[in-house]
Amino acid sequence: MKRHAINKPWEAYLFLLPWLIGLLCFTVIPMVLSLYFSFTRYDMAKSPVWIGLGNYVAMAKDPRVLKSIKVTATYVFLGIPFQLAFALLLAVVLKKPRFGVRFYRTVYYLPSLFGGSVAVALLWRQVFNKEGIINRLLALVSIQGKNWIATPDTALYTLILLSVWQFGASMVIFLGGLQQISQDIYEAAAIDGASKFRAFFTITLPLLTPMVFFNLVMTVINAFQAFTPSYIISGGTGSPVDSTLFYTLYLYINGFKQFKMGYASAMAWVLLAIIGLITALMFGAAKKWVYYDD
Amino acid sequence: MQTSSNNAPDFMGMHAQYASDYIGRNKVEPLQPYIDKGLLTVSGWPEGVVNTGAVDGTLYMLSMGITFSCVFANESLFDRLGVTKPGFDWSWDDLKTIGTQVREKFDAEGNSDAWLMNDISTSLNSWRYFVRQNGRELYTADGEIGFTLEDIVGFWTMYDELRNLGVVPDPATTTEYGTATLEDSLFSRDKILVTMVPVNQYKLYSTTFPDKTIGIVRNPTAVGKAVGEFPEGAHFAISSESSQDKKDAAAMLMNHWINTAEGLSLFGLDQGVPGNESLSDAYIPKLDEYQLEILDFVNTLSKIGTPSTFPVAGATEIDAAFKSIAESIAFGQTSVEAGATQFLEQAKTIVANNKAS
Repeated sequence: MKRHAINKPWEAYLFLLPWLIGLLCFTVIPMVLSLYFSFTRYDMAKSPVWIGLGNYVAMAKDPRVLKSIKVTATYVFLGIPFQLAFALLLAVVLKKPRFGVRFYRTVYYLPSLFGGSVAVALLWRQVFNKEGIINRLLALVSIQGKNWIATPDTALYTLILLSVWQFGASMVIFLGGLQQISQDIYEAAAIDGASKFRAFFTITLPLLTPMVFFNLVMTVINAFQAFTPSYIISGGTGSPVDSTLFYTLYLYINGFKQFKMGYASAMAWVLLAIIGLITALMFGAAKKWVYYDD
Repeated sequence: MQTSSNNAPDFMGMHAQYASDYIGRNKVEPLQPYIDKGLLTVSGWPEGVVNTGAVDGTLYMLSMGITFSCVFANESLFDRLGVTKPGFDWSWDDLKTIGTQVREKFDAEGNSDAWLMNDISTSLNSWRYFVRQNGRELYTADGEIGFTLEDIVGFWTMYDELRNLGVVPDPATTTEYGTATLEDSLFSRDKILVTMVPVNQYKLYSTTFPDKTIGIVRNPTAVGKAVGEFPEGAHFAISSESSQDKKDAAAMLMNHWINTAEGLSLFGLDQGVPGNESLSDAYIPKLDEYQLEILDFVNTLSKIGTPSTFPVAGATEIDAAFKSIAESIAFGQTSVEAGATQFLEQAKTIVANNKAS
């Protein structure tokens, strides 16, 4: 027993070694290097030149950085409430075990699997262009649609719609949460005369707040890092007129198209700080509205 | 992106517009040592053609083929509309006149979704012609900005007017079709009658659209001004990051593509007229009707066009700034004057920053 107890940590680290190597090579070392590069002028060909806070100062003066933050914030804060509300609505509808419900749960989950893919982004482009299916449907009721994806006023909203469509993962978590709520509580509420509408807001929603919080944190973090839809739909430029210039896309343009890897690294660290701050704020606020059983 | 990731291919295509950004970062191998070793030859190449791949006197690239930008005109559609086709030496004024006639014809058919040509106010290369017609170059020989505020304002004002006249599409249509494939393009869909492209694509266009009769004319000229055309085309280059044996192999592969009959038979004139004159002369009897048209146009323009200066380091960033501001003007979010001033300042800053680094 004693020998086994001594050897156990060693064996554990041995089994963890592949993951530890991966963590070190693909996460820790690149992050440390990226932090260093953010204080340098570095084009990935010549050696980095230390410029202190130069990149961060330049970022503060760069109007496209501000624009990309605005675009990304709109995408995150407008898209996520709709996405979570839609996921919750579908989860409530698909909660009851009725005929075919498993099939529909699968079907509604599918967009989450391929919704962020290149193929769907291309499809989205076709759906919302001037001669796309949306405008053809509008034409049936004598409405002349515009080129939704190529007009600055509407392009971002088509991307937000694409993100809302990817509600499946949140829906599954809500479904799990809903199924854990005891039927006894609903029966007691019904005996007291509570309507289904009231039961939802006074029983379901409060008991579901841990899942809402989890989904909120995960979707916010993911949404800030969204890249593919903007890259594909705008042809990698953030067009029209930077209206779909996500922060990550502008970071990519700087790093890989304009060889400004030091600047791109600084942008990456600012993004980390933004996500960290918002996540911390969400955790702080959670104490006031998330109810745990304990 | 591959180059940024230190993962460039051993043997690669390189366009002059972007070459300085790679050469300035020592990503491209000088070719003279491989010529000295006998792995590569420029024997039979005119000096002017060889020099299109030289920067500051050092040879970095060799041309896949010489080409000139031109205008393809869908003559079938001109005939159907009953509008006179552009002549070989048509001018910007002719373009405006013909474009207005085309607008009237389409409007009479109730078709507001078709125009004379696409809006290329975002194309730095098209603007380069315009600047040259004004007697200047985008960049000076010593790597400074060569254009003036007047060159920018003139070009974008002209396209603003063409947009307002309905000669070119609205900006949303331009954005939508900006990344369209040839088969899905405005030209393919008969939504425009003319398009500006390098002449070497003539066979591609003619065979892709057998139902259209396509004619070749020059880019619009500026009456009483300088010539805009200059020889251009894609080049071959070797990555400086590859091992020496791979560089040698890349040089031999390059030589095979551009200096052997087998290479020429594979490429044809798809990338332009080959630089090796003795080889292309021997190939002439085998050319089809489309290739003969290309050859004829390149020969004609070779007598008219003049060499241009090489783009500076940072040209990629300047190109992106040009596109972004031109798009903003097209959507009415920036005035021509404000946009032009902003672009000139940005371009100067980019050049200065690249020189400093």
